Amino acid sequence: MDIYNILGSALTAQRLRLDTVSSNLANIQTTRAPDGSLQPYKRKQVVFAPFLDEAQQMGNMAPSLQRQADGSMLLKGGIQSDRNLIQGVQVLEIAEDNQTPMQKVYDPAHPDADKQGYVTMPNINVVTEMVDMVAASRAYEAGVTALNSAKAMDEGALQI
Amino acid sequence: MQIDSAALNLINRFPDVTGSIAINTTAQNPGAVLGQFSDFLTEQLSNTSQLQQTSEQNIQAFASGADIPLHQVMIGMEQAGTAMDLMMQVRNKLVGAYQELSRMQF
Repeated sequence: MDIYNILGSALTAQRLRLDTVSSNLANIQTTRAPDGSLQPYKRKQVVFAPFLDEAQQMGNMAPSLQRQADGSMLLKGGIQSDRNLIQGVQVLEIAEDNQTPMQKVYDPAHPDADKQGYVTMPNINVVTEMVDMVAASRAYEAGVTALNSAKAMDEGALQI
Repeated sequence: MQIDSAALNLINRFPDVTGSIAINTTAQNPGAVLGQFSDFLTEQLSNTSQLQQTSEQNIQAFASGADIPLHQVMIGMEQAGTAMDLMMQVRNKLVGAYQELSRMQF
């Protein structure tokens, strides 16, 4: 368990969430795919999952000194399974939002209008994206505050 | 760094001060692998320099535009600084112990 790695993963995850929000905001009127085919942009969302990388799992299995009954110290390899519950975060995938219905805008002059004159616009609501952006930046600030607290703890320990 | 090598030599000349743990464990349990304090110190020194090298590589990569998040660069710098501070405190304690030993009068 390394607090700097855990909080670093939190900051990276929130940064990626902000990137996804930016992508949604940039493509708010995108009606085509990059290759030019008629496929409107679908709103993207990040999916988070807890994460403990191999190095940290090995660290939780690191040997430790234990005092035996006769007073000597024994170096014992330990598997501290409950330590593995302290996890960082990873972005599992950037999923498309298939629940929110796409917006249909009446604009017969648009090159991508269908026979009735409706254009299928992306299912992106600016207000929802701004709320996500604020939430991501607040979570980022919370991670930075936690990092500063950990740094202050370490500096205090060095004064012993 | 001259004082550090002098302190390390001192530790090697007085093994019993810190080697009693190793004697107990190796005599009663051959499976124990606790070495001398000097080995531990050398390993920590190499860890510290490794952290500083990593931090410097991160800074250079970020300055040249690689895809490294800024917070990762800052965290690397912070870890290198903390390791350096810890090494300075260990050095202070070692020098203090050396001075206390040299003050002994026979």
